[in-house]
Amino acid sequence: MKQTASSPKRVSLTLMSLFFLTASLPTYASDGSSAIMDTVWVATAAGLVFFMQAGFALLESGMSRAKNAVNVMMKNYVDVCLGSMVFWFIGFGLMFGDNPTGLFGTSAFMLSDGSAWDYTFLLYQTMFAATAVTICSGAMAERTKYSGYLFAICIIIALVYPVYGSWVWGGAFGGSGWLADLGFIDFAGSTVVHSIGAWCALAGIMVLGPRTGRFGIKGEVRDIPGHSLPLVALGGFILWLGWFGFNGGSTLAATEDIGLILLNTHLAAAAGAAGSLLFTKLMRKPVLLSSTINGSLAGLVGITAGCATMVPAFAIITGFVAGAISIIGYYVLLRWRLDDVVSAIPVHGFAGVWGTLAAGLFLKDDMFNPSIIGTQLIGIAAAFIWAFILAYIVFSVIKFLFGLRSQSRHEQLGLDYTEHSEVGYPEFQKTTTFHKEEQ
Amino acid sequence: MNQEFKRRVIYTALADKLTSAELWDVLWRWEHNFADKTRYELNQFLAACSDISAIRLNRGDIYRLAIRMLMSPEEFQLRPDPMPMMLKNKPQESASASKNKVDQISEEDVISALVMTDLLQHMIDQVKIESAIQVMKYAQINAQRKNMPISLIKVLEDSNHKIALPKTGVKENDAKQLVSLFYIGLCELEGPVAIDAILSEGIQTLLKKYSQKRDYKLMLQKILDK
Repeated sequence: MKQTASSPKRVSLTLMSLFFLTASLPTYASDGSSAIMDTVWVATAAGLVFFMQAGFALLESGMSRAKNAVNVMMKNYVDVCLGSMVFWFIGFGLMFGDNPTGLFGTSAFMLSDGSAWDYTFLLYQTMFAATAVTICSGAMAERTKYSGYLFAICIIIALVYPVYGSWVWGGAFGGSGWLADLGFIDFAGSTVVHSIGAWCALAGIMVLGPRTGRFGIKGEVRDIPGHSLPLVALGGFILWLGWFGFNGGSTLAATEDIGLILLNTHLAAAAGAAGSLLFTKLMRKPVLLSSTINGSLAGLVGITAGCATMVPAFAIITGFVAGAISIIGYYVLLRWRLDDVVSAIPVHGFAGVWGTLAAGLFLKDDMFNPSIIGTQLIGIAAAFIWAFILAYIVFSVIKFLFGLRSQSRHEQLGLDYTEHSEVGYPEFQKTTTFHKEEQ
Repeated sequence: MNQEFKRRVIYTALADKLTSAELWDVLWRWEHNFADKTRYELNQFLAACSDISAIRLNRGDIYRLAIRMLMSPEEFQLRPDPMPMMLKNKPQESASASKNKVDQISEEDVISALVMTDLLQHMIDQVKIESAIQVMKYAQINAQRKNMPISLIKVLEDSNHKIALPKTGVKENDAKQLVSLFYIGLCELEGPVAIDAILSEGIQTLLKKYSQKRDYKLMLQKILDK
């Protein structure tokens, strides 16, 4: 029965490989090697994870004011560009290199003499690193100096992300991480990717402070609506699609497990939206498109750790709770007077914590095992302590040396114009008198 | 009653009676010594200009005409704001002490003062009176901290939440800083969304107002530039 069910999957994977490979494919395919199938699947998944950057760009840009739309897009774009180079240069080696101490990798820096599989693996992990770091851009939008931000992401991708990653996923070239040795479960990165990114973002917004006028003198919260909800919705759909590569590709092989992983991913996203909807209603708050989309993203973040190790019913519960957490987290941050423009911290941080815990709670064949839950809690705490403290130091040093916050004048004019000398919507822009012909 | 309107009245009342050189000289005297005073001091102004025979001989007529224009401007066709022409006809260095004072002010500083005043006035006109008063106080305190010129800080002391035109002109950079201070202050008081809309509307209004004044338009761009 199992064999019969897997056959159509094999056929569809072959079709996908035919679609994505060039004319040289038949030569390899004729070898019948499963390594080729694995490579095709992981490379395709890498493409999907790369596409998530487009989703982040649209979502974050749509949630920002029109005068900062270009700046947000630029940050997302450059996250991938700079992040990829820095990760190849140092991050990959620190994360996956030979790891005798369990604390960090010591080989595979600037990888140029690896096997065919090493390059595929590097490509896939590069996309993960870029995803982790791009979480900061949304939270810190609309008031961060471009140069300071770029400097910070280089350090995060070179040090903060890969060192923690080595504790959980390290040792691809020998040895293993200390959290992996304890039995910490994080299949595709609820904590390794999403929480780490969110804790860095939390440190970033604490060092930066809120956008001018976000909180009134008497402490009242002022809404600053984004400029395009259609972009937000499109970004949400793209991220959802990209997550199939994010979770599905983490098998690192074209196996029949992919079906369950993708189903769990999809159900958790749907349940996340439902959870946020219900919880918003219970709190007697307006049901917003942005909070619904964030609910589904929280569901996706939540299921990322346990998508391969729980049954669909628990994937739904995980997603549902994650969606509710994203709503609670939003109001908690406001109460703390923390200005997270896109709710990245509730979605990636708080939901990531829950998802990692859920992966231990709902582990197939060994549910509610206190020892596993304890290990999950250790991994969650280690992520927060490492990423938050280090990122806080990094952002503070950058603030002290070069400045991290944009001048209030730049905040007034919009970072599109002040940082990049262009505006996202020149026909409609009315907050500056920028006319090139008169310059 | 704004300064531009009063300047147009004086200009209209005197334009046909004085030679060009006399006219610009008298208007600059008014700008520096009487522009911010009440209409009751108009007679004193004309007395101060009695060295010019056309004024000495027609003082009564000029006074009555100017007062009528101030009281019922709709009955007259007031000439446009003479400031651009005044700037092109600044008094020479060799003249009196007041003329020397004028020489120290560049044309650009005067325009930037006018544009800045217009923009700030527009912003505070759109918010609650309490916010207008608070933001002027906020700007004044911060302008002092930033060591901005005293003449500029003084205009913020003006009561009745009106921004007075700084008599000595304003450096472009100071104008930028003051606009920023108003923006930040109003952001904190009224919220960024409301103030973005007010600023945006103000810019559009001024661009329309300055449609025939290229220098003013360019100055607005400079003040709002990074």
